[in-house]
Amino acid sequence: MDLVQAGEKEAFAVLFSRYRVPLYGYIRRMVSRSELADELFQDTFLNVHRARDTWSSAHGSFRSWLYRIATNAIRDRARMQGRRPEVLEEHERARAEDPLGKVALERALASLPDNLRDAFLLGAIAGFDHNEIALSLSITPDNARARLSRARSHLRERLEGS
Amino acid sequence: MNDAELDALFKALPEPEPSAALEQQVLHNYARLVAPPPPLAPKNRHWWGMGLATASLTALFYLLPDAPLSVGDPSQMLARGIGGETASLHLDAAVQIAGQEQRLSVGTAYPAGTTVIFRVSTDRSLPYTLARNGQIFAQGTLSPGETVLPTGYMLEAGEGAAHFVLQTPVGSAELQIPAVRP
Repeated sequence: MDLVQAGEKEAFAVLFSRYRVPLYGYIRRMVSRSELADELFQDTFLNVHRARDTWSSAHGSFRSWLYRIATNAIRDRARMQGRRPEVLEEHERARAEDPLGKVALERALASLPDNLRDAFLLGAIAGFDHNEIALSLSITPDNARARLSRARSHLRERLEGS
Repeated sequence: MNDAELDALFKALPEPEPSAALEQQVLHNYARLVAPPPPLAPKNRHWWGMGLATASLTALFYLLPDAPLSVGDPSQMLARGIGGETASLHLDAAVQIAGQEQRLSVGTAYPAGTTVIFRVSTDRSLPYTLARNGQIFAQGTLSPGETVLPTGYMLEAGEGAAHFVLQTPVGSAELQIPAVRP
């Protein structure tokens, strides 16, 4: 990240190739509509460059800073556009082509409120610890632990009830 | 199903990937962002510009009338610009309970799951940090006018009283919320 701060293109390319898939997965599962996910994905990486002087390792890991930029972009967009009814509609369409129950899992994930889904995606899928989740979502570590726990309970109920 | 088993189920889902075109677009736009600006003009153009400006000013000196300029009534003059003004900063909060936004009532203990939403009014662009009980959990830049901060705070069960402080270079604003209702 120090090299990115100095404007090194190669360093940016390395960060991009390391985080492109997990970050895109996170954004895509938070907003679902692919065009919007593409836009937010691009905004996030360009904002890394624009905000590079504000990053410091003293404030936590690079990835928690990166995910915080993404989370803020998602929240800003959600606030501008209202809620996202398209999530479940997309999964309804895909349901018929789901022999292995993957869509059921995606549907369960999509049914989580935004503030539990982001914690679950970071904690359970991206492998963040409570401190990193807290930094990424701008909440306290206790809050992060509680949200992750509530997300898991919600998903368990949903899967066992289906 | 324990936590690890549940997580493993979701981890096994295929990860959505960005398209090659999208990746190219990001890298292309990044390259444009970091590219140095093109040179404006050869160095000796600078002297031509200076000469032209001097000639124009000299011509204006001879062409302008000798009459004194009217400056109007000095008692009617108004100060303009932001120099010397005091920055305004006001922090307000609302609560969201079961999707319904309500005005925050100071002294009321709210139930767990309530989200506190922060609304800030200021007259200029300012960087800020927002801390809860001394711990920073949000930061960013305020725009002139009223801004709803992108980060809210969800009250959790068993949480004690919370003291929120919004800090900016020109001052701070505070808010106290009682312990969460059991």
